[in-house]
Amino acid sequence: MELIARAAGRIERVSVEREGGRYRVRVGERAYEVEAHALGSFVRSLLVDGASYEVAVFRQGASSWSVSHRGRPTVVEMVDPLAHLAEATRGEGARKGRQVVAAYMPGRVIGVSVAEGDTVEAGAPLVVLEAMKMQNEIQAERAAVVRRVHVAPGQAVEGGDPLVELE
Amino acid sequence: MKRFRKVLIANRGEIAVRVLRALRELEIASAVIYSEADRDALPVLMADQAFPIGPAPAAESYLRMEAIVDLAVSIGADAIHPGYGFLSERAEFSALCRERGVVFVGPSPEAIGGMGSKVAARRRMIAAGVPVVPGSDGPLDDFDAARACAERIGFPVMLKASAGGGGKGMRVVRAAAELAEAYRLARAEAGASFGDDAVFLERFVERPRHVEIQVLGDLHGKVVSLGERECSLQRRHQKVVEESPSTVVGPELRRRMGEAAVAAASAVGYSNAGTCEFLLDAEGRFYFLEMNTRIQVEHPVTEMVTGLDLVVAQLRVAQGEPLGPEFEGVEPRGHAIEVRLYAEDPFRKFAPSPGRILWLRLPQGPGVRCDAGVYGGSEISIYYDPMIAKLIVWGRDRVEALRRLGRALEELRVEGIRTNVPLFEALLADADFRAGRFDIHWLDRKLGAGELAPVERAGLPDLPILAAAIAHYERAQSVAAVGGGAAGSRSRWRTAARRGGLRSGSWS
Repeated sequence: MELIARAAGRIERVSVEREGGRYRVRVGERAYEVEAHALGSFVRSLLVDGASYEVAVFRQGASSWSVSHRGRPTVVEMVDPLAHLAEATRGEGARKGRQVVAAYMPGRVIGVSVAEGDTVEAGAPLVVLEAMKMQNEIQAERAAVVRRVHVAPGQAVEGGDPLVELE
Repeated sequence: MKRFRKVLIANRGEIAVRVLRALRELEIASAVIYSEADRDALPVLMADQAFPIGPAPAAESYLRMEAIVDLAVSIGADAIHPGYGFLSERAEFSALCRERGVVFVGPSPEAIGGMGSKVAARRRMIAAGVPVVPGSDGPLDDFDAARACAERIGFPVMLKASAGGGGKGMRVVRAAAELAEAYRLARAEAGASFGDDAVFLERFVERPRHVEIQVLGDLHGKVVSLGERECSLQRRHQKVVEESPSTVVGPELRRRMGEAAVAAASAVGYSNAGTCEFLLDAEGRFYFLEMNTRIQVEHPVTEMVTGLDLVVAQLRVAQGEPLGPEFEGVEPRGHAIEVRLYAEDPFRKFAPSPGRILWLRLPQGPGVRCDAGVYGGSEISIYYDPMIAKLIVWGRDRVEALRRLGRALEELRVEGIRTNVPLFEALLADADFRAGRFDIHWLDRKLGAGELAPVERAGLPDLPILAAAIAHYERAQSVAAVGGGAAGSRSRWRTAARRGGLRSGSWS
């Protein structure tokens, strides 16, 4: 299986082959022999050329995975090479489309700093969430126009719930 | 003396589990209360009996004094252990228990009240000969009074607005020549900020440490000191690491601080476990801050170096047992360090990280103790303190304790939520921390200046890609096997946002 991996600013060609219980994985020019065992639903023991790693792998979307090693997460996108090529051709402009800003944890909305139609700068406060008696300001990652506001002060939200849509 | 047959624990989380363990060892039946959010929590699973007390918010559950005492009476509990937080330092709760014939495992309402008001407690401590930060004890009449007071207590001094708070109207004065100008400015600032230009003066304690003394009193008037805990490592006034002994406290200073703590506790007729907090300056002068009239979160470090069980001791003295010879002349043996594991994300300004713990393996082995209130599968709720466990290590000396701390943190696995473990890894790599060189402002200063960076681990940079590639491959195979199609996803921006937050390699 041929894939493109995008992780932490890196883009790598990846190929995966299975041979019995083992995987032969190529990442760029590097080849690895990996033995992978699932321990429960999320955690895998990987023996990579003999070195032992315990990782948790969570699926976040059709092609997006969060890999946590000793509590530190890395998000890896695994895409079809053709899809990657198509995206690259559309260019940066196409990738900067609509952004749904979601609650990254469950909590209560304490304040909403923007209204639909507002223009915001990168770093501008959007929503203040409260959880565990702490307030957390959620900021715009880049300059954008507020297209939709999904929440109102006082509202309880779950992790992943949309708060604001930017474009 | 009446032995307890059943005790109700009016708390949750790790301290409820801690009290349960003590009850088991004393062969006392245990009952816990739980809020709607805690039905599946560890104390409920471990206790002999568990009773619902209300909805998730603490005000509607763990803080319902009347309902809790009613429950204790109705289930035939002889006593209530309040743990820490919640009702543990409420004099009215201690009084209500007494009124209803249930023993409160803690000090009397009079002792709690005697330490409750800072102003009254300070006056009482001065009368008992306990050192407090020297000062004018009230507003200064004029500049002459300010000068006389400053000369009496010595420079540097701090001028503070009587009506103030939050740093407004505070001025540090390092020499007599600067006092007149500082006095004029402090009054003007106090007047402008608070509408009251009264100021008072006290000694400015530079780069102090927070060192506290564990005391224990029985119901027969005896109070003992069980040594100090060094708690200077704090992030925004929240203790993060505690240890015993303190690297700057020797036998002589320990004896003097212990005597002061015993005098402080005795002055209010204290019984049960309590802690006197002191500021300790670089010259070894110490000043009473306040007394915590309960068991402390960090009590295990004292247990590790004294070999005593403080919660068992709390229950015993509450039953009326006198303190035995094992509590006399206690000296620390070896070195213990505790770190508080919080469900918070150090890469996101320490934002809380509630959610379900999907995978948990707690460290074990020589010199390691882990007091946890959770298990793999536990939900970390948004309603309460985000502490999930305390990791305590013991070594013959501090170097061995630090080595064990590093090893234990490597053994720990928590998945599903973020934890503050990277902060401890960074501390272990810091020369000042390793040498014990810090004060109460040190950690905030280091974090603020970006001088305590996350430790970059050597390892396999391709590991996340390998794991994701294999997971992706396996999923594609199983989807193909059941003939399912690929579902679309709109989550890429979210993951991109996460990636952006992680790439910076900084704490926030």
